[in-house]
Amino acid sequence: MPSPEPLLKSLDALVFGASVIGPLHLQLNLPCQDACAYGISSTGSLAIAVADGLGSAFMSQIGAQLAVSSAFDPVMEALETDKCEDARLDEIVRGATVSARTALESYAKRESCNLRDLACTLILAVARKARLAIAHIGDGAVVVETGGGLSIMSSPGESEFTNEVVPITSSNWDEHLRIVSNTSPINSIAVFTDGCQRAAFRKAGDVLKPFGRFFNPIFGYARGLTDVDEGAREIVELLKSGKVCENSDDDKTLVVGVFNVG
Amino acid sequence: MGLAEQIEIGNPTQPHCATVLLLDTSGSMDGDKIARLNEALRAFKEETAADELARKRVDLAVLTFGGAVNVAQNFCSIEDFEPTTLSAGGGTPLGEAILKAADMIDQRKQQYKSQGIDYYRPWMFMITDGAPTDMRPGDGIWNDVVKRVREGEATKKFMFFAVAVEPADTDALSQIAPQNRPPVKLIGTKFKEMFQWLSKSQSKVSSSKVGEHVSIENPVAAGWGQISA
Repeated sequence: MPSPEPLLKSLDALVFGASVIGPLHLQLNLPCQDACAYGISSTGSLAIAVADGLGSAFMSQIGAQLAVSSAFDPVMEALETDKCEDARLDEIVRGATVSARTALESYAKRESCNLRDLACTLILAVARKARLAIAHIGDGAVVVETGGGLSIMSSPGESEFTNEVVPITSSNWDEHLRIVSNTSPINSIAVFTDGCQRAAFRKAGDVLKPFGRFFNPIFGYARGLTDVDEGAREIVELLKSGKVCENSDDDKTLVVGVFNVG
Repeated sequence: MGLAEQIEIGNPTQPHCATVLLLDTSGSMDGDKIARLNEALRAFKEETAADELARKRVDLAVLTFGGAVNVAQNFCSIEDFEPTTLSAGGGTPLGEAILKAADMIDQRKQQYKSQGIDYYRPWMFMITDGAPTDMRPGDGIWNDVVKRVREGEATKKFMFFAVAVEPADTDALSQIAPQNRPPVKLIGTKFKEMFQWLSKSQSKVSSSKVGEHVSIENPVAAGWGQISA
C-alpha cells in the first residue's frame, strides 16, 4: 500500500527540497542518481531522507530511491505514535537505516542482481525543536542553525577527498554508520548530498565550516515562505543554476526545514 | 531575486595562488620593526580580503623564523587568516625556513592536483633583517637552499622574493635570491607600504588567467623599496 503523502507544513514548521540531475549525468544520458523524501508528522517532528547513488553502480538510482523510501516510511510511522519519545529518536533512525539495508538486500535477491549494483549513501534526519537524531552512511552532510549560528551536525565523513565512499550496500556498512544526536534547540536544518558540498562548505586548512553566505540566504528564504511547492521549485532552480553547477557537475539534493515560522 | 543570485559558493573551484610569507622574527626584529610588521599584516589581510577575486584565490601560509621555524598559519583563504601578534626572539634559521616553505608549496600543489584545482605560480615572500644563523656560504644547507630557490624559480615552480630590512646581510641574500629577482631593500620600516604592494600584486595575479604573464609593479616605483647595490 503506498504511504499517504506526508505533510510539508505545520503550524510552526515547514520543509521543502529537491533532487536535481547534474550536468554530467545529462551529458552522459544517465538518470538522476540522487533521491529524497521529507515530511512533518502530525506530532510536529520533521523527517528528511536523502540518498546519493554511486556513479560506479549501474542501478544506483533504484538503490537511492529504495533506500530513501524504505527508511523514510517507517520513521514517519514511528513519529506518528505516542511511543516516540525524544530519547528513542536515535533508535528510530538506526532501525530505519536497517530497514533500508534489508529492503535493498530483498530487492537484489528478488531481481537477481548484485547488492553492489544498488550502492548508495543515506542520510536520515529527524528533528524536533529540541532534539535531533541523524543516521548517516557515506558522504553528504547535515548543517543546522541554532541560536549560536551554523554548525555541521553530520559531516561528509572520511571520504571527503577520495572516491572511497562506503555505501549502505557495503558488507561492513554498519561499522561506517554514524549516529548523531543533539539536544540543542534548532531553528533550521539542511540535509544535502555531496553535489552541494562545494557550495555549502568553506575549508579552513583541512577543516570544513558551513558557509554562511550559502546557508543564510536559504534559511532566510525558508522563513519567509508560505508555499512549500514554490520552495521546492526554487531549490530546483538553485541546484540547476550555473553558479552551483560550475562548481559541481554531479547530481544534487538539498532539503531544508525550518522551525518557529509563522 | 532568486536564491541562485543570493547565495555564494563556499569553496569554489577557483584557481588558487599559494603564497607563503616567510617572516623573520629573530631577536633583532624586536621593538618597532616587529610592531610595524604586525600592524602591516593585519592591514594586508583587510586589503586582500576586500578584493573579490583575491579573496577567493589567494591561499596564504605564514612561516616565522626566530629561534625556530614555526608554521604560524597553515594554508588558508585570506578570510580565514587570523593574524596573530608575532613576537621576536632568537636566531635566524633562514635556511631551514626556505626549505620548509618549498616543501609546503610542493605539498600544496599536490593537493590542488588531487582536487582538480588550477593554480597560479606560487609565491615565496621572505622578509629578514639579519643574516642566516643556520648556514654559511658553501656549507651543506646553504647549497641546498640556493639550489632549491634557483631551480624553483628557473622551472617556474614558484617565485621567490626577498626583502631586506636594515641591517640585513644583503650580500648573503643576493647569493640566495634568483638572479632575475635580486633582493629589495625596504626603505626604513615601510612594512605597511610593502604589504599594500603585495596585496595589489596578489589581486593582479588573481585577476589574470592561469599561465598568463603578470607584470608586477616595481617596488621602487611603489615607493617602499630600493634595489640593493
